[in-house]
Amino acid sequence: MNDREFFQERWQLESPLFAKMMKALPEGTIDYKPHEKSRPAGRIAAGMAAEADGLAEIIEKGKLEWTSGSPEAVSGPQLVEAWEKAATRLSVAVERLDEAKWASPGEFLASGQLVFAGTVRDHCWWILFDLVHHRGQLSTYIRPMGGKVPAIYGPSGDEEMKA
Amino acid sequence: MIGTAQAFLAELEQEAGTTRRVLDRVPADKLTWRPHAKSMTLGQLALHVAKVPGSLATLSKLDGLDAETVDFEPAQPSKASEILPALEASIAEARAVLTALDEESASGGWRLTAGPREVFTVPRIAFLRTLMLNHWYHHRGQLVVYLRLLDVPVPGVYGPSADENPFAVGAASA
Repeated sequence: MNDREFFQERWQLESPLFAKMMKALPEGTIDYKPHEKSRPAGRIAAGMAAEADGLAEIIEKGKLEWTSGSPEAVSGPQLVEAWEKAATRLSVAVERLDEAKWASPGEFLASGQLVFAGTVRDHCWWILFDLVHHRGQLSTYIRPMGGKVPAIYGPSGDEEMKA
Repeated sequence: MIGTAQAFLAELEQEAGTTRRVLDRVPADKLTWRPHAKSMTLGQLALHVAKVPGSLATLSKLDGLDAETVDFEPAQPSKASEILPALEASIAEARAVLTALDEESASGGWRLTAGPREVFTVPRIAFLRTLMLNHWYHHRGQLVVYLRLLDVPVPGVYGPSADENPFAVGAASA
């Protein structure tokens, strides 16, 4: 298994865990933020969906124009729906990756300025790590919101790991 | 898979730098603070973040683990000055394990059981990817929220935070 195949496998395994965290956000609390300077839960989750969609864009077109800020979400089910739509698009793009595309250049631009230029490979991995980071942030929001934190890489205080 | 392990080494160094910046912000007088009764304390979480790479790298050298034989309660540091040295030792251990990893070991299986029940068996390289690295980023993501709740300026991790934007024009000279 090479690095590209390894990423394809990792994405398949990680993707459902993002949906699991978003589904754990208590209904009606997407505007919750733990601190005045924090992003609301809904904006973090919507931003994650936009990021997954953006990675699909980089894979497909070699370039992403990131629009400033995250899309506003209206409800929890819409957040999950947005995530699943983006994750499905990304899964298709990831599945179609071949060695030439994996090594091809990709650009991430924000407000017309180049933020990061690398290979498609570089973008795939760093965006996965960023999504993991934001999922970790969301997990800290959930208990004060009245929800239960799902097990991700190991048991949480609310859920045991299942085989 | 050896190429992947070598890529992990570069990633480890990069992420260690980011993690140092986050752990360096942990306020010494708040180590027992926690955001919820069921959550880890700040000290437990910070020390866990410091120790994840090394402890998981060390575990990866085994063929597996029976989770029922392990106490997963995170250790509580008595003082903040324990945290950064723990990170440095942890990174050194992870670096050594990745450097020594050969093809056979990387693709060999690593098995987690809970008593007689198998939880999973994965190639060692996947164990390192998921539990040494991604798991580390997950908890660091939690830690930056803790810092925010304690009114500590949060460093950017993969992008700008509300307090710091390393990508802003002129940031390097600011």
